[in-house]
Amino acid sequence: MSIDLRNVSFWYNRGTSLEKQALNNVNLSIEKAEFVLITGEVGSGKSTLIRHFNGLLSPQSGSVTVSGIGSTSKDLRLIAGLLMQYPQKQLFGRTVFEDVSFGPSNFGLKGEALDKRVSDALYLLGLDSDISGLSPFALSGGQMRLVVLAGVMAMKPEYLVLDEPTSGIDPQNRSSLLSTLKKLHRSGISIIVVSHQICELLPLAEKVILLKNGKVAFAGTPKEYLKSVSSPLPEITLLMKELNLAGFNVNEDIFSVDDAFREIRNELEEKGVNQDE
Amino acid sequence: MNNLFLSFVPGSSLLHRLDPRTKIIGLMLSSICILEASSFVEIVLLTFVFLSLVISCKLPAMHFVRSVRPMLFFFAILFITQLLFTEGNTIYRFKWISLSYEGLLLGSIITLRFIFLLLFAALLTATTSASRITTGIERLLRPLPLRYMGISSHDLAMMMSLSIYFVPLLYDNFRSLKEAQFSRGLNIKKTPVKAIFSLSVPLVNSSLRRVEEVALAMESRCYTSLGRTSIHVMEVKKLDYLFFFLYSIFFIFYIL
Amino acid sequence: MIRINNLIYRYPDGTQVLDSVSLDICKEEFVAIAGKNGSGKSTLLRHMNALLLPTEGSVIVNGMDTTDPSSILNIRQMTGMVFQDPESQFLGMTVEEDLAFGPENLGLLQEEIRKRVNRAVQNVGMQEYKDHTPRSLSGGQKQKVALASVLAMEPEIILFDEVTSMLDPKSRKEILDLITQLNENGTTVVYITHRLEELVHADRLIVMENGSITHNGNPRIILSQGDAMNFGFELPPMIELAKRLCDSGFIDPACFPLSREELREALCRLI
Repeated sequence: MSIDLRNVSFWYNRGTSLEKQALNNVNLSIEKAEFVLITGEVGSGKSTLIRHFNGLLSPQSGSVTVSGIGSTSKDLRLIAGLLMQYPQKQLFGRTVFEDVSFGPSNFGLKGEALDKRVSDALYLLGLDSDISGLSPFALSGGQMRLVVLAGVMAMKPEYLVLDEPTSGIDPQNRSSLLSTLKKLHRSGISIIVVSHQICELLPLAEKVILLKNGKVAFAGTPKEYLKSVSSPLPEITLLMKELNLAGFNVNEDIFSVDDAFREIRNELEEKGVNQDE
Repeated sequence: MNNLFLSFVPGSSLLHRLDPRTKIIGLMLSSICILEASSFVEIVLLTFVFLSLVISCKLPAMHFVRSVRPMLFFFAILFITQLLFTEGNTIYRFKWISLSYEGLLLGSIITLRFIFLLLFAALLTATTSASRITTGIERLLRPLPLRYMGISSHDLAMMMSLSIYFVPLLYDNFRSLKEAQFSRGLNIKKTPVKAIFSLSVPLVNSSLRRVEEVALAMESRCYTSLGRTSIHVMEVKKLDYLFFFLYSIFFIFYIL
Repeated sequence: MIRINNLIYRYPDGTQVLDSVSLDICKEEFVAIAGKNGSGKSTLLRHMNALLLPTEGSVIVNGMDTTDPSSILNIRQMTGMVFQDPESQFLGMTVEEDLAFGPENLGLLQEEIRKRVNRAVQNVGMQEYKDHTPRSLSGGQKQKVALASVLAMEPEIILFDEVTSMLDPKSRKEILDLITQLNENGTTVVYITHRLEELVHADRLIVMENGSITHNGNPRIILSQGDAMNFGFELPPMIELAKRLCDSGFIDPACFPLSREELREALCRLI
């Protein structure tokens, strides 16, 4: 079952002098277990869009259906778990357990079932079960993020939506977060990431959606994206294009380091450049 | 929410051109008059003063009506409470509810007082930007011997403007926190205690952190309690003296 | 300009944060500081404008000692600081008021304050936003205003504490361009970052670990000798690619490319 948006439009402050249209006739589908990257400039409507997935916002025209359930019915948030930017700011529990159990307990889970849910979620994210009894504020920044994410995963959503998950993250934790997302995807959950960092997410994505001024400017695979979109592009792709303009003959549909290295090395060897050392 | 702080409407009317200090003192004096008002004649007099000030500031009356609107519910409660519970000559009886004439009178006067306080305050905030108001307050407080309490008039003015500035910011933080906790399963009806914790703890945390960071920013930009000047020109002009004279006369006349 | 001598800093509870740091920063330099989280970078930076005072050792800014109470205001006027969070640096209802905050603290006359505010807002390209409230500005715009508010105090040195880490790529570039321009016009810049591409214009790189300086010199040479991740940097795909090309001998490590432009030039030179 997928997330379907049909002719969705949304205005902020509708009817007042501050009215601003954030989404303009958006049509898109996200299939189960897809890894989707949603990107676009500041103000393109990304944040507004994802808030329609879990019911925070309702479309003012058009319809949103998540796994067959319309957005007018309650609790899309059990199906689509939304993790906001800077998740550490949401922590409040006296213990990690309190924070992670917040979601499921609000939907009626108690006792042993709740305990299991929490420990499963912690395990899923690679957190030690001993962490359960610690204060969330005593943890490192990276661990704090994972605790909040565990709280979202504890509700067992089909879709995990993340708003700029690598924003403000320190370099050490960046790559581990990305591999955690890969792992979650492999376990069958649909991952939807809103991010400016195309470079690091394009290699992971199966589908890319580009928003421009509240409209869907592109929806397709990463390879199609590179062929048809001129900006924003990952740095590596830009490099390939620029090298071709300077006399090289390399494949331009590339965005991963391995592919780029291979192409450049082959090209240089072809041109007779030797590796000196 | 926004209107309280953005109710300033730029302009060049008489009231706009007055020094903030004149307007602040005027507001204080008129507040005293309003709180003393107890007769029909005095209410009419106040209305007359208010209307003439509105004309002199060239702003539409709607603006002031809008400033009262958010408080209408409170005023209604106030009025009804006085109406129901004041002892006196009964003018209407229904089962155990009795409305008295004194209640009607008291209710009207108290409600009108509050409304007038709001209206006159709106005159100030509509014709003076928030930072001019705080600069004005700072100037007025300067001659006071505050340093014996360890603070200065600049500190008080700074506290005021920071509070004014940060309330909408706090509100924004709260809104995004609510969204985040909603996404994590917030349910105020089912688990109210937890819900309150999930909203208050992070808010307090982030506010404390924000306070530290703001203090650092202020220090690194050389904030001191003394010797601050202002980007605004504070000049008491002839117009100010005229107004001051006028409302002082009115005030004395009123009190006697 | 800034002379730091055997600086030791401990928290009141005894935790040591800086361990005998010695460092000189010369006029008009662009010095970058890097290091993992907790290595002491921000702490070191805050000593340079007397927000923190040394437990032992000394920090001298333009001949003034930070432990001298009568010099503190002068030091802070001369050494401005821009922080990481765009939200926590706005000190007024509008952009204009925020920019006026610093000059007002300096006790300047109203006319001079206005002149400086106008000059500063123009320098960062935010003239049209003078009357805007912070809520109507994006993160990148707020950081530009934060920079302008420091410029309004006309400092000789500006310290930057990871000012781009909370911004989108476009804003990051705009801010860095502004900072580079300031440096070209004579302002000394001390810049904490964990993004390699921001080192492109740096004259010197300082790497910190556990409260001490481990490297101090030419950015490219330092990077070619060690693992950038150990120095607290992100390894964007571009740099990873550059590193692999260096390791396989195609590119000379002494010219380690820090940006796409530099990598492209290095590769074009080969053919």
